[in-house]
Amino acid sequence: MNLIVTTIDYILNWSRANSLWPFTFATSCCGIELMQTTASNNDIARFGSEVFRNSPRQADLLICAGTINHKMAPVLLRLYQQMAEPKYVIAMGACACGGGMFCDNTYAVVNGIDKIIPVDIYLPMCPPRPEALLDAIRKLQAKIKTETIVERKEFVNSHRSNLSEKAEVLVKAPDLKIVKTAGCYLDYSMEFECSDNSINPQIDYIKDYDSELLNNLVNLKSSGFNMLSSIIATDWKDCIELNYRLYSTFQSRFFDHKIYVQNETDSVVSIYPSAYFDECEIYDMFGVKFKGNHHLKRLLNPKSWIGHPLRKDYVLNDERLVWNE
Amino acid sequence: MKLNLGPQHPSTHGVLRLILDVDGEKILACEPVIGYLHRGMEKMAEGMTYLQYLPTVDRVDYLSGFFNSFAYVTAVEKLLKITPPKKASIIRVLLMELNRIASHLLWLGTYLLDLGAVSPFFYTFRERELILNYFEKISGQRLMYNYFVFGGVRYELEEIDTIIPIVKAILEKLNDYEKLLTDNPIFLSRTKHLGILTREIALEYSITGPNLRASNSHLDFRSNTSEYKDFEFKIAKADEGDCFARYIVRLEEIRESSKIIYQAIDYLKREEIQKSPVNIDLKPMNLYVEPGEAFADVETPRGLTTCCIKADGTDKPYRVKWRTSSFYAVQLLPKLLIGHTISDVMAVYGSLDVMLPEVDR
Repeated sequence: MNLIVTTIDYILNWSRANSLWPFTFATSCCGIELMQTTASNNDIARFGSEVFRNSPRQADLLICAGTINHKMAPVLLRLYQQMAEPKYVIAMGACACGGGMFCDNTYAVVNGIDKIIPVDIYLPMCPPRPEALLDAIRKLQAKIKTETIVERKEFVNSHRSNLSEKAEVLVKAPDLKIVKTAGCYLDYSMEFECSDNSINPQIDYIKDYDSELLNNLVNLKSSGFNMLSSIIATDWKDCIELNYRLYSTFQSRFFDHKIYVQNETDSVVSIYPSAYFDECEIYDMFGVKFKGNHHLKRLLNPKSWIGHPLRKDYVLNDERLVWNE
Repeated sequence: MKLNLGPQHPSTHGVLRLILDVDGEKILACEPVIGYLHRGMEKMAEGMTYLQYLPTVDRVDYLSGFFNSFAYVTAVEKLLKITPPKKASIIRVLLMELNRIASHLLWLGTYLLDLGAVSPFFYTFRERELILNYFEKISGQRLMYNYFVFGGVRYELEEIDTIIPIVKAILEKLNDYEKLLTDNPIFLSRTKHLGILTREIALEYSITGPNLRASNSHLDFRSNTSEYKDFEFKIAKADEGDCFARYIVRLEEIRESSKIIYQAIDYLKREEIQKSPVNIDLKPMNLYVEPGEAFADVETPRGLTTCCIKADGTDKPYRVKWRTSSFYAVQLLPKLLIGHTISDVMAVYGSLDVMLPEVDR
């Protein structure tokens, strides 16, 4: 009996190890080195991994190349769950291994993807060289070749018991429905409903030039400052400074128009349409509301985020994270 | 029908998510959702000293690390009221232009990959590797260089003579790319008269860089930057404002960058410059910066990047704000995509050269 099992193990492992099809999952810097690994000089095809699959259903290997933040974490987990067994994970780069240079002083990054999914090979460095990734794939192949089916199951299960409570909730998540849309298997049906009318925001803004800020900006625009470079917000503890940085292509110079607000001001989207993202970001980061901007939303943080991170009274605390979006 | 595209999609080169409202193949509305790579870099700065934050800024846009370093370092230098030695600023220009070529090469390869042509990806990555190998030689890293410091650059530039063969090889290959692509009927039919952006709309939406210059504009922030004063170059520009014009502008920019690189090498070989040091020794470990605010603008391969630093007299920045150009290019997407078909989404999106880490920071 043992002879048969070990022979099956051997044949299975041999075939699994030599045709690891990776899944194209690149979030940040390491993704560029992942691309370089597939390109001419390094040629991942030598090790049987050249077939990059764009659907998790067809892939064996998830190379998590890059930072995973709290908004991306549920997506990563869902993609992992959709991969068919046997599946392997390489955490590529310092961020995926343990947060890397983003593990301190920031609120957004998950410190290591092993908080969410089981990891087979850790590949630190920021970013790893293509040769290092090839080495990681070789190491994974060696690992697969020596593993039995029973050991594999134990490995995955032992990770499940080590998961943090938040991730446990996410793994079980009873109310999430998988909706299949073309090219994507993610569940975001709830978000579809509330994003109906946020298209083309510039059309229905109130054109009310009564306030001083709007008047000034209209005058500045007519005097040649035809581009709003950005809106820079700063929390000065007693008030929030908004710096409207304008640029004139005629005079080739910048102009800073500063105002100080408490929690509310007028939206300038009707004058400079590019301000829409800026205003959403400032609402997200500072909690300033813009009168007349009917589509204010959290832009960078998840919808369920609590607090406004760039305010000075915001305490960096991991417990605020809400993965179950 | 609603169609969800991303955040995991092979052609977005990152984690952009688009919610498309489609009728058959036609796009009626589009809503970009960003933040899947938000790393809180602006908040990080508030907890770190000026020197600790320096390696982080390369990650704001990992394809053009030198530009971000340059913006941050220049802003701190403005606050400290120092100017780097002449030699350092020439080295900075030289490296930034090399970086621009590498970034445009990557754009070209991946853009054609999105359009369905696989082999240009291998060609451009082969040429890009030459530049990365040189960067690794001087800084020890392939993507995140951490080479610029307050008051100059970290080390002397080594093996300057090896740059010219690299640039020459790339220019030669660039002619091959043009032969392959510029008259290619498939490429033309995928990009001509597609995603047309007029100059007025581009300025209203705060679009800068090659995307704006492909729409009949001369705006190039290099001409405002004092480092570029001594260099002669043409501002690459096209009139049509479609995807093909953006391709033409980027290829032309590679040629102009090579001219700047040749001039910079000539400057570096002059005797009076060879003798000068490459940095001011600042003792950056305990760097206290006077209260004030400083802006540094730089023309990156994707457009205007501004680093704004507010200092409060301690050794940590009070606030750092990154103004990046891709942030506004994503906002423009609905404007360009409506009316096109689903197959054109990636052709238009790719032509804008959006980097997601720059969008989310």
